[in-house]
Amino acid sequence: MHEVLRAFFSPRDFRVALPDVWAGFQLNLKLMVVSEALVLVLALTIAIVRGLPGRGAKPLRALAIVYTDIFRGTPLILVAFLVGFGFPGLRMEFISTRSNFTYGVIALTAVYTAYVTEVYRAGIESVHPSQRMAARSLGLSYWQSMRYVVIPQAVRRVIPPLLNDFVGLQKDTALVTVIGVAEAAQQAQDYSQTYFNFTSYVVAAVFFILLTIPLARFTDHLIALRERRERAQAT
Amino acid sequence: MKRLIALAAVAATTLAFAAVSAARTTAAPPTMHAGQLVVAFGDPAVNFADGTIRGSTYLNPKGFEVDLASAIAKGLGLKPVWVYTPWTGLFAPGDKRFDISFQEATITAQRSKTVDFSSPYFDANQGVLLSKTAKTPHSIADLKSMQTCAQSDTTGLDWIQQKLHPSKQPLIYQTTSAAFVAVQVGRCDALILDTPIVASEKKARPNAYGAVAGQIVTHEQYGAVLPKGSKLTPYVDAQIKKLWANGTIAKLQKKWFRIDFSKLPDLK
Amino acid sequence: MSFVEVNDVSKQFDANVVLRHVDLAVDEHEVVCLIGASGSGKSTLLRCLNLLEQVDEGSIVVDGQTITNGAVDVNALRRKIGIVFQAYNLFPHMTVIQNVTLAPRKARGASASAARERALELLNRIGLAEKADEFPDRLSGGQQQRVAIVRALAMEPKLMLLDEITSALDPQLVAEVLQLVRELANSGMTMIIATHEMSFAREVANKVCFLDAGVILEEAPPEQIFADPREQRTREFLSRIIEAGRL
Repeated sequence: MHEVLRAFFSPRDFRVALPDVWAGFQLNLKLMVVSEALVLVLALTIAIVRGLPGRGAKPLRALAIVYTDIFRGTPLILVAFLVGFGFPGLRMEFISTRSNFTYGVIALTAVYTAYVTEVYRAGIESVHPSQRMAARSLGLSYWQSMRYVVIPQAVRRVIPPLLNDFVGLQKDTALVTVIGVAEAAQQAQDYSQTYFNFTSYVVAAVFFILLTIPLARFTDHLIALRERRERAQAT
Repeated sequence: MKRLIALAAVAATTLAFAAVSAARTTAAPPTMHAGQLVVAFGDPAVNFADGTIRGSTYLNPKGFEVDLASAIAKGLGLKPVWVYTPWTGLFAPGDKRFDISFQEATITAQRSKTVDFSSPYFDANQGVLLSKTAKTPHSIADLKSMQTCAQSDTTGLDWIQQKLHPSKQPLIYQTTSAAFVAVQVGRCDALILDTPIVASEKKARPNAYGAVAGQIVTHEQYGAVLPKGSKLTPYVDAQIKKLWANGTIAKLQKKWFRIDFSKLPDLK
Repeated sequence: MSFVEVNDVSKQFDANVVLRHVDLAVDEHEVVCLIGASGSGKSTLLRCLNLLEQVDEGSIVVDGQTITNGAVDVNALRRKIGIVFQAYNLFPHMTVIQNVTLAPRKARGASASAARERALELLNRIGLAEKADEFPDRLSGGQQQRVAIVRALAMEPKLMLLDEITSALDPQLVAEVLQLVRELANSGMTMIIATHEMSFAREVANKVCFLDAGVILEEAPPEQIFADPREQRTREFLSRIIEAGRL
């Protein structure tokens, strides 16, 4: 037992490892913020494309389906390798000369957009068709009814699963270590390989946990807020 | 007279028996599984140990370290079994899933605290492998401004972090293959890794890389890795001593490395 | 010429024929009530009028424009026609006043202040001005339905379609909604009302149509159809209503 405490929870190692792991964690934070912002926008776009009516939109809908199938089906680590090593390997102007950080963002965004698209889609489809009907009956166009009536309701409904996916994204930023980004997990590994103590991993874990707790509480708060509004349908 | 001869005969037989059985017990080396030597290699390294990895076994490994391991096993009267074990965690304290591992591991005081090393079987320095687009460095000072990369937990990485202090952070990869790919695609200008490893890789795939720019003289020596305090270590050392003495190691080196490392310029 | 002309319209959903050769003419300022059992086609007929449903056969003309020929601007048509549903369908994520001003601002291009002014005027008329900044879930069913009516009125339609708007309400809330409809009728709005409220129909309608299995079986002024229906099935239907105590 004492050995376990010393190997994983040594106060001295905690203090020594902290600065480097924190420096690495700032990269995780940047990865997370940039990727989340992109995912939120891109996924909503693809979800809307997925629901476009009419025969003319069929190829677009098909493309959206193919995209989500591919990127929900491929493990993030593979996508990271493909982007982090494959893009430079193409030796093309601009595409091949981005930083490993940028490739990390691309990989995370590509995969998580696919997940979040499905979440948005479920949200949009859960809005009762009578809402769309009421909006169209007032003379609002398809796009106006989507923008002012359907999507605002859809997004509010799926906030819990959305935030759940973001917690996943936050943790998956650690994976980009495999393409050479010196984020928290790699710093922790570096420390542990030099000093043979695993407390550095605990330091990194603590950072990640501290990040997700506020998000979880915020989700709870938003759910409670939303419950009220939706009850209007029932009365 | 007849009684004396009979006594002598019995004594001689008994002595012979005792000698034989004594030889057997003193010669039996302590391994995980009786009669077997579990030998672990890492990611394929050209000319050292190169083969197909299936799960945790190694199929048809070929190379200098393979031949060396076979010779050691034969000398100990053991049958070699080839397994794969990753580089990550090789030097971590604790039990191992092998009797002995050959992964071009440099003997260092730090590592010796947590694992046993056999006596050295290879001399090496750090080599500098350039990407096709990198500018040739003519001195260590030139290296300082280049984008370097290294494999995690290697003496090459240690050298970059403790001796070179480059202006850009080195890119660190989990495996040798990932580091090589990074050079191939131009992610980094210069990979700092053991000379024999990079020189062999360059010889095997000349068009994928730029030149091996030179060596950084570090006087490293490879030793096989065994669990700390392993009772097998003295047996292995005895075999290695024998194989140096009878010229086997030199012959194997010549067979596998038709590269003259001394021809590479030393970077200062 | 009538304001609304339904000519020989038929409609089916898969194998189910819901409207069968329906003819109907509604003049401007006329109030027409549609009565009949559930599933007789009342809702479907109303929804064909603002193109929420497509007719399979026949044609419909609204305000001189044939709307069933596929070349009409659907959104423009719907700005002229207001429709209110049984389930009120207010937008739960918007306040009452936002519900009422959304379409005038986005579909008609009214300025925010002009739309707000008009909305408050309408809300005042129904005595709900102080609820303007509340969310729908804070209103009773009757209040929500009246807001739904006012939401449709805010677009200044020429025709109002009401689809059983009191059927989902508690009985004590029905009166306030009917009062609003009464006022609308008196102000000269052209209306087609599908309803189960027979006494109300008798009071406001210029014409009552009895639908049975997708056909307008009988069409007459209320005094006549309630007092002395000509068709056997009309009689049966009305007697069942009387038995249920709803006439």
